[in-house]
Amino acid sequence: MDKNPVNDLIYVNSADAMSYALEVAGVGARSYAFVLDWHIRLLAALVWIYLSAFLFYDLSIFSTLFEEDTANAAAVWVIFLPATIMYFFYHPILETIMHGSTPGKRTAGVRLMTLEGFTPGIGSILIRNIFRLIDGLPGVYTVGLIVAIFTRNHVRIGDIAAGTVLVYEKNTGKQSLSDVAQQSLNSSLSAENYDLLLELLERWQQLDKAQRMHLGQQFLNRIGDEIHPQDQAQLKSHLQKLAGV
Amino acid sequence: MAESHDDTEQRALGAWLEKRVPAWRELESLFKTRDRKSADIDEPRKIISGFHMLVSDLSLARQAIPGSRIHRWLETLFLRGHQLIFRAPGNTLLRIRDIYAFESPALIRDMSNLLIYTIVLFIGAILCGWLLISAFPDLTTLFASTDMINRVQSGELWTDGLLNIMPSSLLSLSLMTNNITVSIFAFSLGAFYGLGTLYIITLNGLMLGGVFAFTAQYGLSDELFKFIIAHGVVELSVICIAGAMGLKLGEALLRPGPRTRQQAFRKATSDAGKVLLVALPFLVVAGLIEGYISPDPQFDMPLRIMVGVVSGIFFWLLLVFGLPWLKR
Repeated sequence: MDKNPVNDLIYVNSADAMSYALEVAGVGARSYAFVLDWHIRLLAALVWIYLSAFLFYDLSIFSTLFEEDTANAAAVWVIFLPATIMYFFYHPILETIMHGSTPGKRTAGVRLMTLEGFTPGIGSILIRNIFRLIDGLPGVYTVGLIVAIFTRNHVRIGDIAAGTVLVYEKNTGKQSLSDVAQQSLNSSLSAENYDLLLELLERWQQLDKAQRMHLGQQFLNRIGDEIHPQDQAQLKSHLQKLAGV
Repeated sequence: MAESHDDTEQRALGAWLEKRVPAWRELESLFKTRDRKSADIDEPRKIISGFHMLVSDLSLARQAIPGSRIHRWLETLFLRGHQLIFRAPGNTLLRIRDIYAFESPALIRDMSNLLIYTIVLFIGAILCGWLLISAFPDLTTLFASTDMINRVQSGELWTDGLLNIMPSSLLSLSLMTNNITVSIFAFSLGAFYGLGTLYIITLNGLMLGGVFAFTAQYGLSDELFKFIIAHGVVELSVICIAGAMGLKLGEALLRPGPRTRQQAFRKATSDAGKVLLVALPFLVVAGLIEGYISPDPQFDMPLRIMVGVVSGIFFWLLLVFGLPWLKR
């Protein structure tokens, strides 16, 4: 957990007398995840409607689909039932399969957890999603948004009912735990400086040339390293050597 | 290079990491194996003892290297272990069986008073709707669209020839969606201290009574009854049950008892969710009946009554008695 978290925290107490802080996701992250998911489910449903019509029937079926014709009855089920399920059951199905996450939530860096620090079960997920009907009132999630703004853990009514909360996923990078520990063993830096160095190397590609040189040199000054690399390639190679990667 | 950190401390940290890293690596891989439900019975023991070590490592990391990457990694591993060890074991199919067989019937019996109140309210609203439209026929526009009114005035129900407009399959699908939405609304609007539920139940009752009174004025109420009876028993029963669950939410907020309001609300929702898990699937059955049997003129009245009564009896028997031949 960051030393100075900008968001609210909830504490999970384990049976081993260890408390663990989860960083509560705010309304912004929640809305961002929802908008992404909404686009995905809408697109998935539309793609299914057209793809299934194209693959199993013919696109001209849409002009005759709504007429009373027994030959079209199966087509209605094949085309519309999966699309309805994709659109309306997107959240409960994916949150169950992906253990409290969805593609939108994953992109936004958040996930669902129970107040006890567990991945929510299927019952909690269903209850949470049933309440979307009233959280969505009177449109564009106004009730849910207002409730989320004013509640302590920034939760909507569905979350209150299900005992769930949206939290930020821990940013632990792409490396495995033992890799991180192994690298820090290979480095002579303090843990704090080592983390700072890894952050810098991770963000290297996003920085422009001047920023790389400035931040890199600043880091070397901080650890008392008197080497002054001439170019960014030399600087990066030196920093990588210090990090043991 | 002059490292500002104290050398002794740094060496101690290095020695500690060197000693603990293999154990963490093993624990990480055990967690992964456990996720895949390995058959090795020694694994749970190793996981538990590894988790206890992890707890003390995490305490140490919090003191020595707070906020560091290793600290964050250990916390992530801790949360994973906490989830794996302390979460109640769950077999979804077994849970659903228990809910159908035992929990839902027990809950229905517990909240029988609320259910009776809801049914009385619904019947009262039907009577009020009937009396209202009988006394003031002009108010029919409140409950029925102009097209419906015109068709009834010309001597036919709006449901006549429904299958010429829409195939049974699509009709079933749209009716299922609509009925499930109404039921979920009746339940979830209970979160507004029960007032939303009262509104939905009363409105639906008034509409049903009003529409019956209006069709009766043109001698079509028998036809409407014929249309409704096959699917209506189950459909209206589910709406009443969803309403009762909604009132339970309202009651939990108004009278939380020894719990906080949030705790009482969560408990009421969890209980109501179990009952609805049993009741709502019947709306799929009702939707199929409403799409395939109700609008089809070739099904005569006795058959429709039989479908309505049999489906209704099956529904209520399951809801009140569960699956008594099963044992816990």
